[in-house]
Amino acid sequence: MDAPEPTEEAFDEAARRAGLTLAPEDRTIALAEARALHRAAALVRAYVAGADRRNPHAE
Amino acid sequence: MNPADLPIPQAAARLRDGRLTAVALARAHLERIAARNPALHAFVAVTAEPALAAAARADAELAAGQDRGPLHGIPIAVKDMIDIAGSATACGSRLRAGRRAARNAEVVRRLLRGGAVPLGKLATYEFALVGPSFDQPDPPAVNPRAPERITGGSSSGAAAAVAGGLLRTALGTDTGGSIRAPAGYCGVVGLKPTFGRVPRGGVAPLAPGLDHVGPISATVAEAALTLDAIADPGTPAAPAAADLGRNIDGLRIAYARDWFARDPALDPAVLGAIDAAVEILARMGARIGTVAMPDHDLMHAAGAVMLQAEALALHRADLAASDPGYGRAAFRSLVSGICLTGEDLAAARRAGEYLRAEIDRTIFAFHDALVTATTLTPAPPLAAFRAGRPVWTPMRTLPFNLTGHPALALPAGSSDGLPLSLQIVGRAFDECRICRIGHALESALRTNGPSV
Repeated sequence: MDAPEPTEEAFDEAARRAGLTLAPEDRTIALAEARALHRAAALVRAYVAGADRRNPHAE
Repeated sequence: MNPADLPIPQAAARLRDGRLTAVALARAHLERIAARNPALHAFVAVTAEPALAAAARADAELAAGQDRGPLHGIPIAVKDMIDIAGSATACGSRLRAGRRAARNAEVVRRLLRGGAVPLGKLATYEFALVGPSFDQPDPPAVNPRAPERITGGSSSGAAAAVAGGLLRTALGTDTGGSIRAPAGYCGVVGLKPTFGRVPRGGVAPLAPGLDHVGPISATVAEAALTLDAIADPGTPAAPAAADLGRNIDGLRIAYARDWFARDPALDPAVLGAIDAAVEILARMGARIGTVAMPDHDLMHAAGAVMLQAEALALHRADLAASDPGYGRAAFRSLVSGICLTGEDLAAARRAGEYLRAEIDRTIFAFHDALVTATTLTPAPPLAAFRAGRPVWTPMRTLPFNLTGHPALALPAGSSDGLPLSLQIVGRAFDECRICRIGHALESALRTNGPSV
């Protein structure tokens, strides 16, 4: 888990950059799912880092 | 027997010996749709006149000795993510309502070349993402086996149509389980082919690295025949229907029991049903070996990151419009990916390559097929989805979108009368073997499609 979960501010900034305006309930639900996805991405990155070390010649 | 209830091989035999015409068969299905679709909402569009014209052509061709193959004269319908020239492809969304396709999707072109008779378009969760939703133009499809339960999705209409006796076979799409989960919840057969075996031109994408097109059908044989009609003939693989009816004596089948049995969300009836099915396979001569799959949470995580990142990339421009027109559930689901990075997506794709290689090396090098669960519960109550908040539906489907292995979902037992399902997963392009095993198991379980 090499990066902190998205804060509300970081999520809002990402939404702003994407040109999105979120209603409060949309924001609450999407932020919770974004944090779950962040944890998923961290798990995947850790796995790939280990697999790359075990398979240094993999393309 | 009503012709609409005839399994495709029986209908095909009658079409050829003169006991049935394609027009009469199409009319029987259209009458069934008229009677039942108002309650099931499986079809979002019925194209009766073109269907009857196509059926008349099919009859004329057979009379003239031109036989286009197993689906000649057979009614079919496609999920509303798949283009039919002249019909709207709304993708279950207000955003696309009324947008007519100029050309047929490649799979539709192949169905027509094979003489099939398209009857219309079938309901989908919005953009094949999440559902059921109650804020879109059409009401959610209804599960014919349990109207107060969800159909599952996103190929909701295809599963409802087949389970409700409106069709024997239909086309759906599957990005994380969207063929297999609704097939499981509705008690019918779903076949997600190998990634790349079926062309996707003219099919609205959800996540191109995970998207598959395949059949939802009443039986394994009908799913295999449908797949063979739309699959790329250029692949070296045997036709899916080539070995139907062959015994399974001596086949080596891996059972990934722990991969789902330890999940706290599991309905114990699922484990009992799949244990019983595996015992039947063993009695038929298959050699069963219990195997350990790669970690499910990891596989699901990689699939989820790919799905959300790729879907957001496709929808980003529309989402930023002042009134994008998405339903709330789809909008929230898409927005949830905005913090993912390009590095996250690249890692997820790389994980998929490693995991596919690991399964090939540790399981398919020693086994002909793998059995595991499809969904871990029967269909959840529809009421749980009315609030519009995400509802977790545990299943074991997305990992095989990630790895691209073919996976066949077929009915196996029930829980309080609700259908349960198992998956038979194969080596890449080995749909022939998983359909052979599925057909044998289906025959042993004495199921012949949904009772209607």
